[in-house]
Amino acid sequence: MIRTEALCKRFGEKVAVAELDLAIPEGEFFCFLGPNGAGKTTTIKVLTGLLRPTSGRALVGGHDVMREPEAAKRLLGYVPDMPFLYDRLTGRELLRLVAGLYDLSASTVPARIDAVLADFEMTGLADQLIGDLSHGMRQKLSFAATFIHDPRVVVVDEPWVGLDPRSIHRVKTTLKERTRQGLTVFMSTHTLSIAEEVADRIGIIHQGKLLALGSVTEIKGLATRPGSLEDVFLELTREEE
Amino acid sequence: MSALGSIFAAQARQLGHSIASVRKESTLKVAVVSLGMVFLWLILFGIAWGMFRLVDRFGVEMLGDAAIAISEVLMPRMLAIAALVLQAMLVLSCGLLASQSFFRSTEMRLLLGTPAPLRAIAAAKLSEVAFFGAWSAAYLGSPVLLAYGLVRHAPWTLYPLALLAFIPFVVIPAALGCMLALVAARLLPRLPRAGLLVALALVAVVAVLALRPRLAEARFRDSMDLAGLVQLTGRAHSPYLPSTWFAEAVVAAGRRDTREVGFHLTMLAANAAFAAWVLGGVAQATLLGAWSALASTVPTRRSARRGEWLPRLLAPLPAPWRWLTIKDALQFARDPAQWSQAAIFFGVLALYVANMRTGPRAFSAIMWQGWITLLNTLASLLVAATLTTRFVFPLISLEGRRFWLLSLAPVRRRTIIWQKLALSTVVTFVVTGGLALLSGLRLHLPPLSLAVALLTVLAASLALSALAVGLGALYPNFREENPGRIVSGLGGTLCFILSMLYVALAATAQTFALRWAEVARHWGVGWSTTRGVLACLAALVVLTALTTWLPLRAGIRHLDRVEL
Repeated sequence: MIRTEALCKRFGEKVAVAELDLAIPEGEFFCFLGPNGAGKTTTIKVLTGLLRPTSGRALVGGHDVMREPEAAKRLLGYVPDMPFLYDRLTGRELLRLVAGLYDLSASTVPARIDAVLADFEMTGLADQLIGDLSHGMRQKLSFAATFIHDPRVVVVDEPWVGLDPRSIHRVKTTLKERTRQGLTVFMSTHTLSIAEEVADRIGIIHQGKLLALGSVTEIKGLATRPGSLEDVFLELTREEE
Repeated sequence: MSALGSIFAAQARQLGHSIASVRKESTLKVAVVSLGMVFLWLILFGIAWGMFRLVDRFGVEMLGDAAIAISEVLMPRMLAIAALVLQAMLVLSCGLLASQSFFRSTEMRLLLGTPAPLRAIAAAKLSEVAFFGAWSAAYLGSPVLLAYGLVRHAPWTLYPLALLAFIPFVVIPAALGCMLALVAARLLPRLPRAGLLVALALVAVVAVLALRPRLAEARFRDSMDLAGLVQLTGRAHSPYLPSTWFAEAVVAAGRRDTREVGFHLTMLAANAAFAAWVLGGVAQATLLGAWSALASTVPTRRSARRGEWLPRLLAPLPAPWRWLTIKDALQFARDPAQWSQAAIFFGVLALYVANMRTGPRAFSAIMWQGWITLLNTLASLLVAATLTTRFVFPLISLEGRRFWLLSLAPVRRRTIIWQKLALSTVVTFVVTGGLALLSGLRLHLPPLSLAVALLTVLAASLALSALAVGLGALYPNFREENPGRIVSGLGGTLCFILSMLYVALAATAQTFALRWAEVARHWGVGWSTTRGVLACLAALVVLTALTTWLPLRAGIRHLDRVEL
């Protein structure tokens, strides 16, 4: 469902992502790990069409995100790390805007909005201005906006910042349940315990290069001595002195 | 280093980085903006010089029993009027700047979390507001000052002394603006919105009723003598106004009257220091409370059904266009910075329309009709240029860090540009076309002149909207949330200059079309009137097409490629 082929992104001399090859099948919960500046967000932005790859390509549902952006975007949902939304719209108005941008059938939109608001426990706050919402509430609204068009692929960039434990549980459960119904999730996170809990497979990127790829068990097996995912992560991404 | 010293040092570094960042801008853009600013400055200088020269030639007239040179009376008053207008503008613009600086800048959270004294924070904010307010005042005031100095053959010392007087001259309205912002933020969050609107409307009605007799009395008349003119201009020359002290300091410097210069400089400096000291006290009394009040406002729950008329009204539009337009309209209507400036803008327009019949009756003569038509169109085009530069140019930038949301949707980015162009063209034409129609009817313009004026305004609404949307997409600033700052950047300045250029050329084409016989006679062109008029209209069409197409193409290409 998601594929990158020799994906490369440079910013001037700096190589942010180098020759990344990934293939994530339908219904997989994929966690993308790496230290700050490793290339996670750059990869996500290329996958979502917000950045152009320097070379190589990224495909969503078989559609090249650069050559067939509209077809790829119809399948895609994205939750950014910082929920920058329109502060002077209410949550409901934002969802109607997003539904309009995806040209959803007008007759189904109100019910759809109510459903996603309920999914993320935002019904009571739907008619408040977004500017009045806390960071965590905005993040939940981002999730609701992402699911309004029923995407087949969801790309999530470090979603846990600002969410309370109950909301984290809710989001985690919702994403996991939906993967069982065929949704593909590509999630970048620093929270290794959550990755360990939900991921079908894990990829570890460091300095733009994919260092490891496999199931949680396979990744743990890469350590020189048995340990947690955290131990493997620290070992693999250790900076040379 | 003291808290104030540290804040000043940080502000200086930020300013240095901002200036250094100009090097990253394209050379062509910087060159066009610089030349444009010089060009506009020269125009202002030319107008001021012409006016001072005209007054200088008035000669001597009897005022009561005394014979006096009219220029000796009028020039200081002209300076005082210019200074008063600048100060009034400064109070308003500094109030808006202060409101942003005190309550919307992220650095305030840092500053208020430190033990820095509130007086020091207020002083730092005052310097910031005064600095940003000062450059526009200096830009508008310097050509007037230079023109005055040249016409009066003033010594060179006039200019450094004027610069010295300019500092307290700016600090006083900046301090007033800061105090207004602090007090408003402290009090307004507590007032219910409906009550506030009713109170403002009542104040406006009372002010208009109170000022109406004075305004009627102050209007220019067909035959106004010197005594009348002195009385009329005297209202802006009160000895209690800082603008008068500034004007008197300049006049005295022109006369080499050191004592008078010293007196007025001292008046300005003492009052500026006092205003800054009072601001410190106001900040101590209100700043923390205002922050708390702003942070404690209870979120209002909006009815989900309220505003349903807008989607229904726009129902014929495709869904993405419809919802993008609704989003733009709601964002605008709920942004106090945007609609308050729009209210001021439309208030000034209303005054313009309301005062159309107060000009001397001689203006209704046939010989003036052509010029009145030109001036009427010019006024409408200038309104259109101001409207598009101030409110349309920032639209793409204001998508800001939310642009990811639009970029993710299966909508081509150019759709966003087309939607904003359509919205802007319709709104601009409704406003400026309405203005042209209303003013044309009040001035009793002939139907042909009115039709040509409306056509020109329609063409200009499209071209100026395309210019603003295209340049807005070509030079977006996704990090800035303040539309005022977006407009005052290089892209906004370029948009303003090119808009003015278009206005000048479009108005010229229209004038040539309406007065072709005179133009042909003057330039010795042998074309018939029909051919000449058609050529002028063709020129207007080509100019409009180029002004529409070129920036839009550049904007679309850039926005298609921009990475977030």
